[in-house]
Amino acid sequence: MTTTPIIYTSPELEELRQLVAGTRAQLAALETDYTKEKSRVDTVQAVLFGHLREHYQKRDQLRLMVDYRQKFLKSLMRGDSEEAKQAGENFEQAKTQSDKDYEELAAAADKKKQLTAEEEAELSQLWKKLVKLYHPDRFANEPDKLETYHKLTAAINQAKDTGEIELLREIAEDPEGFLLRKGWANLDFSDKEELTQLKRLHETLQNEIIAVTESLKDLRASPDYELCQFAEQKPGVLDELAAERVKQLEIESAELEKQAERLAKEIKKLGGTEKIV
Amino acid sequence: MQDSKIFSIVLRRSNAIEKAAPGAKRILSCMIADTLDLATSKGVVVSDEQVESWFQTGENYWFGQGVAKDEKEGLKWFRKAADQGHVHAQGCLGVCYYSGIGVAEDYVEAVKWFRKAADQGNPNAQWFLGDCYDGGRGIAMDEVEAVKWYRKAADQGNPNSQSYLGECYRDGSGVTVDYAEAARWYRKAADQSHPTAQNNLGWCYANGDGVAQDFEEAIKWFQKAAELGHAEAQYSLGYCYYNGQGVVQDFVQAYKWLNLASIQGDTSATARRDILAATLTPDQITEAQRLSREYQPIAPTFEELQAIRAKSPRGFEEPAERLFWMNEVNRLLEKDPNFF
Repeated sequence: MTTTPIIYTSPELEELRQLVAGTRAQLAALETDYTKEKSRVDTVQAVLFGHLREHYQKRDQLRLMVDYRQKFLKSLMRGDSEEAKQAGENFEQAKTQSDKDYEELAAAADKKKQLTAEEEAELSQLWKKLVKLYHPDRFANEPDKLETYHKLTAAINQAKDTGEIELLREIAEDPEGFLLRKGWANLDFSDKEELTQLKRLHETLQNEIIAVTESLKDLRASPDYELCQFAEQKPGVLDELAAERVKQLEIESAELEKQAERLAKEIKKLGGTEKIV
Repeated sequence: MQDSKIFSIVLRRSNAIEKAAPGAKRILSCMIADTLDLATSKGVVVSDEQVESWFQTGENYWFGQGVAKDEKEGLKWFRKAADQGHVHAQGCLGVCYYSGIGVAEDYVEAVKWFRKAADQGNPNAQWFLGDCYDGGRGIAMDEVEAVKWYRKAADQGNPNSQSYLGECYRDGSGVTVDYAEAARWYRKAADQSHPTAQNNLGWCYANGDGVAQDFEEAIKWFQKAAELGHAEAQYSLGYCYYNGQGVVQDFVQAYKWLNLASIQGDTSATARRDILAATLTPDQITEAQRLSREYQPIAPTFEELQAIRAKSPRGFEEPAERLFWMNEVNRLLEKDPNFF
């Protein structure tokens, strides 16, 4: 730039601009805390799930089996073949659903890996860039851009919740490039100069702060967080607890197995044939 | 996409997407709850910082600091911290049950929590526990046990307990009557600005109970307590001005103090004030009424609380004590928003 343009700034505008900057900084700090803590909580959950999955799944299947046989036996004694068929179908359905649920959880747990110390340190820088993209009102009157904007914030929020730091990095470093690669419409993220727009932006940012504060509060009040606290303060405690829980589950499953066998014998005595086993 | 969402879904209870995988969510919640239960039953200890933060959260809800005031929610966090042995949380939980804050009044539960905190040496919990034994609240009445707990707290400098212990010696409750011992404990509490103890000490001097009779000394203590707004002390002071004991007889001053006690509902002060009024000139009465209007108790809140309960806090230094008196203030405000 060869000439220095003389820019007239009203004091009110300048004040508001600073206010917006301060609010963005506050939001960035909150988002950083949330992402960090959420990631820790999720990692601990994933570890716990890894320890317990097999045993819970087995226990749950046995429970379904016992429940089914009890119903089947009842319908057999009543001579209600329709009810027996229904019980069988319900069982199949419940079992399939349960297996699917466990698969889903396993897939999510697999993806989960702890943030490295560097990544945690980097988060604050990333969020400082990311909160600059918050401009919900800017695109209110342009439906196609608004849609793109929603897709972008959804991507950020998801990455925040799941701790996908590569994605956060990708968006923060080059938001325009990210939109381009996705084939989405380009968006202008610069802060507009008009007073009313800045005011609305400030308001929206404050609402966003409230929302993140709520999420953080909910997170910290959750049992999930409590578990994470347990796990982090004493190394090995989670493994110990899980091992203890496995023992309990094995006992429970052995009981259920006996019960299931007893029921199977009774069904056989009554001449019933289970279709599903 | 759904897969990677699941872990976050668990946390967003109010979020609609949580319904996306209710089964998976249930499984995970169940695992976490089971593991936490196991940790509790095995007595896995939470870090002090964590417990302290639970207690702080409880206090925040209780006093509405940074969050909407919610006594039930506060109680929940107090209980969490109290279960982990946090002494102030135990005391506060005791007070919640004692005064029925955020939970139904339950003296048995109150005693349970006061005892836990008292056993950890907390003086206010010891005072409350003594009070429960004294009044047979939530436990069989036992004056000897009451004295035992008052003494533990009194030895730690707890003014409420020192004052109570003095009264036990005066009345022979749980101990043999001993006026000298009573005066000794009153003085310790009185030196900490405990108005009831100051008034009682004044009477020790006025009657020569346990100390050499000394009306000037009596006036000194009545004056201190009366300035704090203690109704009985105001009556005592008015009475002394009326009789000219320890002070130069002054009917205007006598009227002022009797009038102030009367305003607080002291009926014998009212009777005496009215007898006195019959002998005064209209000018004297006008002057005395002006003086009572100008009077400002040094600690009006404590003084008003004093009128309801015969307990006087030195201050709100301890969470349990603060909680207790805050509740008393709230009760007063409920009855009359302009009380203070």
